[in-house]
Amino acid sequence: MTDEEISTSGYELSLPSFHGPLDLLLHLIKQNEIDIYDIPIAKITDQYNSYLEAMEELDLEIAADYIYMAALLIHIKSKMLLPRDESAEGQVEDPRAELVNRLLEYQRFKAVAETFAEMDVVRMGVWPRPATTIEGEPQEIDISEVSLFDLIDAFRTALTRYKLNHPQAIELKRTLHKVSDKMRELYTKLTERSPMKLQWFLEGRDRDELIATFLATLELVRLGGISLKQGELFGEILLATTESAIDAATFDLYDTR
Amino acid sequence: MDNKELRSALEAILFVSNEPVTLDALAEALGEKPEEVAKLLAEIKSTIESSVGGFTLEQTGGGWRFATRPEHESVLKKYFARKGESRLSIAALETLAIVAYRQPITAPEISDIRGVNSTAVLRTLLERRLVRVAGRKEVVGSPFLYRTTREFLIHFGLNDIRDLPRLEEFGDLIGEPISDDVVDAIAVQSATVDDQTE
Repeated sequence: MTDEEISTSGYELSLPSFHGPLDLLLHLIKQNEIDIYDIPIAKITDQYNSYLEAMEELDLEIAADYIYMAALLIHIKSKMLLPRDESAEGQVEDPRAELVNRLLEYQRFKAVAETFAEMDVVRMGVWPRPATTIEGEPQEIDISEVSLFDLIDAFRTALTRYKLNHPQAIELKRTLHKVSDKMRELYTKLTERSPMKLQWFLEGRDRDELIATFLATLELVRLGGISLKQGELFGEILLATTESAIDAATFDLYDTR
Repeated sequence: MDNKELRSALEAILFVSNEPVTLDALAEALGEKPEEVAKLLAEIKSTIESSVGGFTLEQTGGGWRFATRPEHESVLKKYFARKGESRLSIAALETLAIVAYRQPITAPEISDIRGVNSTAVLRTLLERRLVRVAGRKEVVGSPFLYRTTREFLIHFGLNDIRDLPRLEEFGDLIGEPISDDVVDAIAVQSATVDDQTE
C-alpha cells in the first residue's frame, strides 16, 4: 500500500511489502511452494489470518480490502467442506476457481508493472528538447485533447492572480453572475475578434464570475459555436468561433436556469 | 529538393520541435510522400546512431523526435541541477498496467483486479497525464472510463499502444504453466486493446 491509498481509506496499514490482499496471497503461495491450481485453502486461510493477527498485534489497523479477502477465504473453505455430489451431471465447479483466476490475472499485471518499472527507470533518463514556444497559427485540436487538467490549470492561474491583485479585500456586495450573460459576452467578443486566449476572459474576475465564465465556455463548445485550440501540449488555450453560428435567442434559454 | 536537401530540412524541423512530429506532418511540410520521408528518417537515425553519442532520433508516441540517450541522465541532472520527476510507485505502475491492457476501464474494475481500492492512485496518474478520462460507462452510477494518453506512450518510449508486449508473454511465474484456455482468453482480451484515438 502506498501513501496515496492510505490517505483516502480510513484504515491505515503499514506492511510496505504487500500491495494488497492478492499480493499477500501470492506471497504465501510462493513461500509454501504451492501449486496455484490446487491451493490448500485451509492452510492458506490459517496463514493469511495469522498475518492479519500479527498486524493487529502490531497495532496496525487492517484495511477493509484485507478483511474482505479473509471473509472470502473462509467462504471458500466452507464450500470445500461440503460433500460434493458425485452423481451430479456435468462438471462441478471448484469453489477456488474464481480466486485462482483473480490471482493469475493479478500476478500477470504485477509482472507487467515490474516491466513498466524497468522501462520507467530507463525512460526517465531520456530527455527531449525543452519546450520552446514558437508562435504560430495554433492547430485546432479535438476537445478531448484539451484535458480537464489544462482547463483547471487555466482556471487556477486566473484565480491565483486575482487573489494576488485583490489582497484581503472586504467586499459586501454580491453580484450574481449568470452563465447566460457570460455566454453572450464571450460570444459577442469572439464574433468581433477570433481567436482569443481563454486566459484573457478569466483575467481579473472573482471566483463566482470565473465559474460562470468557465461554464459559459463549456456550454458554447457544447453548442458547437466555438472551438478550443491549443498550440502545443499544455499550451495556452485559445477560443475561436466556428463556422456554425449560434442564434442569440439560444442564450435566452439559459436565462431561466 | 534533392534527397540531401530534404534530409537537411527534416533535421531542421526535428531540431526545433520538442514534441514528437508525425510522419504525415513532416511529409506535408516537405511536400513529399510519407514513404520517402520515412526512408530519410531511417537514414538520419542510422547516421546518428553510428556517429552521435549524446542523443538519438526516436520514434515515440506516434511521431519522431530527438532525445538524449539514457546514459547521460546523471550528467544532465547535475548540469541542470534538476532532481527529475519521482519514479512511479508500484501501486501506480500496477494501475497503469491494468489501464494500458484493459482500456477503456472503470476505477471499480481496476480495484477489483488489484484487490485494493485504486481511486487515489488513478488521480495521481491523471495528474501526471498518463491516463485520461474517456467517457462514462453505461452501467449503474455511470463511472468514468479511463484510457492511457499519448504522454504515456512517450514516457515509456512506445510508438503505439500495440507496441506493448503481449500480455501472454507475462506468463505464469509460479506453479504450472498456464492452461491453454487461460492463454486463449487473454489473447482475445489483449487483441481488443484498441488503438487510441489520438
